[in-house]
Amino acid sequence: MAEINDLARIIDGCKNGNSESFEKLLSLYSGKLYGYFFRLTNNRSVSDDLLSELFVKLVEKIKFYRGGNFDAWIFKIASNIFNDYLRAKQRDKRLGTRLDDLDLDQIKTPEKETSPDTTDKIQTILETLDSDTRELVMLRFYGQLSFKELAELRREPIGTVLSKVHRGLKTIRQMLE
Amino acid sequence: MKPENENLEELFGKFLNENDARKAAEDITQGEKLLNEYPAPKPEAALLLSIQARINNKLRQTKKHRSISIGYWSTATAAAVLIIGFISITLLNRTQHPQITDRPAFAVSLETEDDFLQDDYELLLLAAQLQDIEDEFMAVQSGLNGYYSNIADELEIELLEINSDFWKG
Repeated sequence: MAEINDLARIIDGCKNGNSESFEKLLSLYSGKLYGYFFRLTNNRSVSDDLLSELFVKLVEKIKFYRGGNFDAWIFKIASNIFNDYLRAKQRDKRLGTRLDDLDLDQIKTPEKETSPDTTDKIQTILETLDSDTRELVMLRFYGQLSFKELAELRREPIGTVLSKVHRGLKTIRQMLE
Repeated sequence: MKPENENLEELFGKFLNENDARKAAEDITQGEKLLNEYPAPKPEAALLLSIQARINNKLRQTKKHRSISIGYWSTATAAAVLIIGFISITLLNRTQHPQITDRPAFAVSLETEDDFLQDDYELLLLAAQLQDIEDEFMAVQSGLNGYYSNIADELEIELLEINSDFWKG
């Protein structure tokens, strides 16, 4: 209960533009959000950028938070930022393909993706999952969201969400054990 | 509701039989336990400092933007109040001292009425002069001799002239 009150005070402070409140929010959520971004991108540099983008956006967006589960709210923003990043990456890829087709080697965009930073077992297994399932598993794990909240966030039936997360976690379990 | 408070078996029980629901719930619990055993890297301190600096910068921009917006609003409001005040005063003055600009029908009739009054006054003045001359003429005619007969003729002529001038307009 005390934690909830503390968080409510921090959020109020952020809404009033208090720098210290943002510092507290950053220290409370940076670990979870960074883990979420890293597990989805497997790239520290991209994760750094996405985390920065999220907190800078939060300065303006925090006034729109109207109560409810703050974790669900902030992870919804994180999910949007990640999906925007994916779309931009796909656009770059498409542009690269078109330029390849035109055989314009001299103006090719440089390869944006850097090599993965880690090769831990979990990361390798996560790579085998489809992106939708991977994101759902990470949203549940780092956002500590219930299946009902996940279903609401993704606007999908709870049965679909249950099935995807179960499939993902079962795969992780089978491959690790 | 936090995931630890969820009754996974009950949740899966809506879609699966009891045995499968229990197994599915077990898969979820064990899978999440494994994820805990392999934590993702933490953000570096330098990154957090950089983010905090960007947040502070954004906060400053937002505050500056807000005060500029307030300034614009205040100026616009003051200008609107001045314009409305000016229009109100102008309209009020017009109501108190109406000015005829388009000469509507009622104004024309008022003007015509004024002209009639002026004409009546002039007519009365003329009638009084005529009466004076007539009196003078009658006095001369009643029992006066030849010395005054010329004067009587002159007065009669004068009277006729005035009379005809008047009817000429």
